[in-house]
Amino acid sequence: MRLPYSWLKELSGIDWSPEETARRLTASGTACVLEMPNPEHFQNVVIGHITKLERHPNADRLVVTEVNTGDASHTVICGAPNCAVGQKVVLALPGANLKGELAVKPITMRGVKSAGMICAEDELGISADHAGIMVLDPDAPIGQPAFEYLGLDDPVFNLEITPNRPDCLSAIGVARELAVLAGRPYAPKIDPLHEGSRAASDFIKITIADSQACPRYAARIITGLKIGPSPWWIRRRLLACGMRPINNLVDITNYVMLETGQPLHGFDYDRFGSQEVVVRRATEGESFTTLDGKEHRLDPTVLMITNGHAGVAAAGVMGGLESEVADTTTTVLLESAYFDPGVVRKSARRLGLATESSYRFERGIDPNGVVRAADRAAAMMVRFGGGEVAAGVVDNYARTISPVKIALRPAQVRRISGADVAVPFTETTLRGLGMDVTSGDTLSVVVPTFRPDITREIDLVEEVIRVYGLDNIPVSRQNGGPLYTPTHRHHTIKTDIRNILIGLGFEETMGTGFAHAERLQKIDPGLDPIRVTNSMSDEFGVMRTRLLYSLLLSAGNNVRHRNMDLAIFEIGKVYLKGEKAPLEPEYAGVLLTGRPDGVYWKGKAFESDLFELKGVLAALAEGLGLEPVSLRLEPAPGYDPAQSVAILCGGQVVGHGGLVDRRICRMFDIKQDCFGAELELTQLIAPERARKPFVSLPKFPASTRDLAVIVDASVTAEAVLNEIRAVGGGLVEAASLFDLFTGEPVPAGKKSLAFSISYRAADKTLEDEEVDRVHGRIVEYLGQKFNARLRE
Amino acid sequence: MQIILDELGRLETDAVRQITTAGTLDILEELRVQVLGKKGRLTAILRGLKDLTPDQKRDIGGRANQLKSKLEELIVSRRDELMGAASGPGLIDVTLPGRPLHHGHRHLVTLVMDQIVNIFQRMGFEIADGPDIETDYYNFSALNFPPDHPARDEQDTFYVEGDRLLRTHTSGVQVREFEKRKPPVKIIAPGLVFRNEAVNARAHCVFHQVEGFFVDTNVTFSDLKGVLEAFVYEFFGSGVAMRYRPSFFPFTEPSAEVDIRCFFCGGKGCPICKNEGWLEILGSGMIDPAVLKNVGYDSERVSGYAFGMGVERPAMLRYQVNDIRLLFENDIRFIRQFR
Ligand SMILES: [Zn+2]
Repeated sequence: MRLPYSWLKELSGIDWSPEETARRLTASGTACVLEMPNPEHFQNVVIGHITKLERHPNADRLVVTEVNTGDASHTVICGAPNCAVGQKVVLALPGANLKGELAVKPITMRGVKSAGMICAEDELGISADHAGIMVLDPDAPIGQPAFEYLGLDDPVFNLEITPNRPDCLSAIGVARELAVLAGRPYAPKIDPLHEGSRAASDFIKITIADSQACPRYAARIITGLKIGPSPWWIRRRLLACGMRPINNLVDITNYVMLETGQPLHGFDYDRFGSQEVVVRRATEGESFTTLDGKEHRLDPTVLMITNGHAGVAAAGVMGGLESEVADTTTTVLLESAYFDPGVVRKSARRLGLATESSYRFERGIDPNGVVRAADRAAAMMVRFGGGEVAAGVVDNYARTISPVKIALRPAQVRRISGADVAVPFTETTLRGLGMDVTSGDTLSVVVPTFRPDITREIDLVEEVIRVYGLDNIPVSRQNGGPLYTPTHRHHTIKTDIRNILIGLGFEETMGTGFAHAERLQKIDPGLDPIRVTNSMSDEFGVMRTRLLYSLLLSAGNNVRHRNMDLAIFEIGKVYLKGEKAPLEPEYAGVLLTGRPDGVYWKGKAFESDLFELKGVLAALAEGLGLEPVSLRLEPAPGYDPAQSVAILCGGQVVGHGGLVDRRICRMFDIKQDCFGAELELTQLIAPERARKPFVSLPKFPASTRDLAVIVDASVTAEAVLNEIRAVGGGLVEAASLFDLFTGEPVPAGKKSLAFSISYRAADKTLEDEEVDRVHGRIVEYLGQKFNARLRE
Repeated sequence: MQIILDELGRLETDAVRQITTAGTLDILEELRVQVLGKKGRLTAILRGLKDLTPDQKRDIGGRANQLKSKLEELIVSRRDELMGAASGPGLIDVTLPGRPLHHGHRHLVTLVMDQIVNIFQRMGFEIADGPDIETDYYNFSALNFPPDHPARDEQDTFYVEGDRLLRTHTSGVQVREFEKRKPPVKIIAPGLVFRNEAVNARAHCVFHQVEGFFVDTNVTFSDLKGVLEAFVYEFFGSGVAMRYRPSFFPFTEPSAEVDIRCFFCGGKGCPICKNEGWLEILGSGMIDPAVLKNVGYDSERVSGYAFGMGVERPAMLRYQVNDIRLLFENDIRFIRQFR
């Protein structure tokens, strides 16, 4: 909400500077940004009087005017359709720099010189209006700088009003805050209202069919009105508040809404269609055209103002086209009502409309301020519209809303704030906020109905604390709470995994948790993801069921930018449908593509492959204190069946991975092989096992023998290694594969495996003969079991 | 026997001269084999010792072994000389790249979130987490959001099938933890949150939050200020000016937004602080008695504070990242900039 400084100053009587005012408001809960005017934008902009007007000799659409600015007369060309002799206008003379971007210079247009520019509102930055030049009130003083006359030197506060403070959606509400902060009494003055002789009740009666939705509906009748523009000061305040002036009647209803917070609506009485207001729910399928020209099909969620047979307004949201105030209107039916906040909220949503009016009703206006606002608007209509107010208010207060009474124990202020707030301060503050306070050990507080947010003791405590100032509460130097905080296993495992993978050169990525349904379906056709029902974009259409989705998305983003060599990982949740509640298991995923190690001048770079992935997984398992990693060929969705594996630690499956299905990679714009793995986090938490005592370091030397055998291609390295260990008994300390070879001279369908075997005994130095015997036995067994023959 | 001694003498003279003048490592190795190898001259002499008398063995053996040691030392020192010459100054290009070993990077969000969580852990907050897919009860109702109240509009919500929603804040963890525990409860809860908003440079539909709360007897706003000040000093720098602005959250009363002095302009006003001189960093307040009541706590006996802060915003402020989308695009050239 926007409010000009002058208005708040006038209502509250404060004498703070605009900056101080903004600071105080912000510090007490009305967040506020001060917008200071820029006088430079109005240099050489003065009020002029059009004394002469002729057609431009060489241009149909232009006129040549003489504009008197008191000390001089200027010849100015103007193209606006509404330009006329006798008007007071805003003239920008050479040297002016409007809005800091439009420099005015003397120019010649089709042979005629122009010594300035008559301004429209948009050129001055007052509004977006460019329909014509701005025409000032007839009494505007010629030659006065426009900046002063137009009141543009008035700073504006841009206020952020929290949803609990409907009272501050008004100048009076904010002024009351200021008065409390300044410790001043607050008493807004009320203009006397002179009523005519004819009774309003002769014009209209009000029937409320649903008093739950509409507790109160009041109306005043104003006759003999003449529609015209509002005086400049009203228009200026509306403009400063961000509203567009329309005509005196509409402007007054808006002005009073901004002043009091009470939305008002003026109907053209002669076009109202009856002499009775009936407030009722819309019927199913009822049709209604709002004054923005849109037709709506309604249902009973919408509360309607009707003339007994047809709708004239959607209550609290927007009026109808039919009975809108027009240039011909002379009699106005002025509505001031209180609608239930929830009902207006639902109506507005149903209609897809959000208006200044619905915004205030939804948050809750003052049911007991309804008539005061109607009176204020009626008085202004008399003054600025030449009308007469019919006697009396037609006021149907069907369901009375009374102020609430709350008991406040003053000690609670200290208990919650920790500050020594004196009881007199508490009482003064609450009174300043418009409450009735009866002193005593426990204060009895009556809360006015313009503060629907205050219903409990704690709400009063809050009011006192915020006015006292949160910045004035002392900062505690102590820290309480439990003695210690236990370890959070899931948090520490994530940190451990990050540390290991980062150490291995991996970059951490972060996905959104969302997935595109079709793409996710391609990765995991069997899983039915949790659908987002109100997403604006397919990209956020479902919840991801696989970390692989996010990894590929990240990889695709990189490959598109020619970052071809990637080692990335992500730790996060996937979302699965569950029996009672959705499941959110956490995963750690890695992805390798290209040559993440980069090139090295001493050797050739590795392309990522399954064994690079396996190495990473092995290092990760070792770092986490898990059993060694093994892989087992096993199809897993999203991976190429030829290189798709289950990942095991000590026989337990901890995840899946492999070569990502190339068709899926291409879907993410990746045309190179990607190797990925997804590991379930809970499986990576090493079980709490009994700690094994340490093993003594060997005292006796080891002997090493190499062994190269030719076996069938189907024989796995692991099977041969297991056999070597089994046959070697306790003497084989370590055996590792150091070469794999196929092709000439190894026969087709065969492969050569070369192992380095280290023999060692714990209790003695092994003699060569002993080693030779065991080694020989291994060769023999490998021959029997795998039909392996020695290669030399 | 004299013959053997003469032979040793000749060998010594020849070998010493040859070794000390050997021009290359290859020549030196050849010499070593000729003299000390399996079929070398000195090895042959040593082998011949077994045919001698014990006295002779001692005399000649002693000399031969002395010579062996001397020659071995000479060879080693000549080898060092030759190798030193080969790799002498100017001969090795030390600007050649080292073996490409990489150290990866934590994601910027993790980096900052870990820092935040760590600071609060040191102040005695225990880590907890809750589900991302929440019920209306934990995300709104239990936190005192009335049904059909505009306060719900402040947080555009993603709904998912099964009558659930994606949590709009981490505050639901408060309720879940209170239900499980008895005061004192002192928790820090980091996590992902979701808002159904259009994605642009300034806002994303997902971001991370860290929620902290403490309920015990006699917990006051003053205690909240103590903890938050400690956090701000640790995270943003000691002595950074702070201010508390009363605000509104349905689950705290009173509520406060906490700003710190803009560290780009020092408070004079700049585009980053939108000329306000302050940067908003977190929301906080005293837990509303209605929330305590919802979890079965007696608000007359215990009180508590809660605070919640975004992670992306301080992360972006700290490194002047101007587009939040960069955080989720995961371009490694971006990720590698933070450590
Ligand atoms: Zn700044």
